[in-house]
Amino acid sequence: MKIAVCIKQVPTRDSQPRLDKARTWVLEQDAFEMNEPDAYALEEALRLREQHGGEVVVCSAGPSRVAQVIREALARGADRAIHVEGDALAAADAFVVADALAAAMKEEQFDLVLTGLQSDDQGFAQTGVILAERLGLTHATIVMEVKVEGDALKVKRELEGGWFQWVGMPLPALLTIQSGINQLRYATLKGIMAAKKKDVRKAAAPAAAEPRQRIARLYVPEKGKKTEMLSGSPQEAARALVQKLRDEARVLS
Amino acid sequence: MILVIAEQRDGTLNRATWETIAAAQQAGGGPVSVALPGSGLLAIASELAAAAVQEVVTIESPALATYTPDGYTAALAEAIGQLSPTIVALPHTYQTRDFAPKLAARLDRALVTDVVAIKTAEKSPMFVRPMFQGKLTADVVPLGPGPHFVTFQLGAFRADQAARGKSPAPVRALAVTVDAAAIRQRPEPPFREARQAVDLSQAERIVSVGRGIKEQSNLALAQALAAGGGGGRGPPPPPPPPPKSPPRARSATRGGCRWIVRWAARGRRSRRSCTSRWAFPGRSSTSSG
Repeated sequence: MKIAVCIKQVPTRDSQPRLDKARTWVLEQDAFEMNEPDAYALEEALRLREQHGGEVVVCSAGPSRVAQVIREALARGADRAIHVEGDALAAADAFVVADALAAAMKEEQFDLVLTGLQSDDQGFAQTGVILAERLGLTHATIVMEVKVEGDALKVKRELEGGWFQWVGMPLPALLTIQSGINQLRYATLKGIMAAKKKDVRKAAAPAAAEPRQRIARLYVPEKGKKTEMLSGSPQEAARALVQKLRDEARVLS
Repeated sequence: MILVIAEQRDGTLNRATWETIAAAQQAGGGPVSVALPGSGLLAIASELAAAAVQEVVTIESPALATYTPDGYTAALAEAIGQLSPTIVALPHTYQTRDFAPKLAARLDRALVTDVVAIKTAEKSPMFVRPMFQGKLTADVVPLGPGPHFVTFQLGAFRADQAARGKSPAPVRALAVTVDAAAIRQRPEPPFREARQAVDLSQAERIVSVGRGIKEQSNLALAQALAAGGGGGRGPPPPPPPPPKSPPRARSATRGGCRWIVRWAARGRRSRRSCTSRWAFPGRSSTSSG
């Protein structure tokens, strides 16, 4: 089976992003990592390859620094990689990224494409599904378990409130993987050495990418802390307080 | 016109739909209509008609009886073509996350997800959404021709603030053709996992124990208390090793974990003590505990 895994390089979870001068994006920083749900998608792809054979191809869209997470994925066991390179992809929206990936992935005719369910930076939760539509694939989101049955798939989807559902679908397909569904492996020393020799195909980002949204302003969330005095008799004040606790603070029902 | 896509399953309306109606009414983008896809929709349609909206449009087809992304995308793409709204508003539920990007991509229109507030000061509305796991907030403007798709974070708008009409809104059926043979997904009935998988976001009460519980054998006390309140039980925390550093409470945002058993003797949060390390896509990652 020919499996693609789309990974995104994001700022580390522990870092506090700093705003740029225009306050529409963040400053470039040194600490990046593989987007967490994407790491689980990679692990799932490696396990499927171990069961069913085939190859795992890592696909990533971003500036040259993305090579770091591509090497990491290759060290963990992916066979080769496609890097769609473009500086504008660092802050691009889901449509631009999905179109860039689709252009580079189309000719490969993958049987299965795995992505994380959303990114830790912009958190669109769109890129995978848009990519599925662009590649003409069927898809399922928030996937917990993948079973390959011949040329079809059976996947366990998470629904709200502790509910789950099995969904069957034909291959080729795209799945967005939930975080935490398997145990991640570490790169071995042998894997790290082998990664240096693995093939990374570079593709240029499509020139005329048309963004679908613009960040007008980016800011640190306003944490409101205000004191309000309730006047009136004790009865009136208590009534007003209960109303505020119910309607504004929503701690009473 | 703002078109709200209502969400129902097996004849039960998802209450997040009312939150989305409230958001649409506050967006200041003109009249609001509701579209309700599915099968056997009359009861829910009359429930929704209580809202102060222009009309409730049912999109009825046997092929939509069970949700599938292919079926919903085909039906809603056609309905949106007929109704030509300026904004399509949806609740940011798991189901919306499954089909809305596909629908937006099919129509090649902008989609802004996980919106928590609307700013209407400018001539076109700006949508406020968390980014970088809630560490930053962005005001986002959708670009390109309409309709623009917007999904609203659950709990960001209040269902009880959706304006009700003086008289019920008209209900009409919109004819769409959904080719059942073109639907590629074969969903099976939903099921619940074993009791271990307690969804804390849905819990009415959570019993949490701290360092005062002293030993693991005393956990039975807290479990008896939870059982007395009719509760299920999350996974047990791991046995405590000797304390290494002074205990302190930590927020539980990392890894999307929204709740922890604070096992103080460990001195640090154990990953295993989370009920789940999975992200909670319906919610902002800023909230904890």
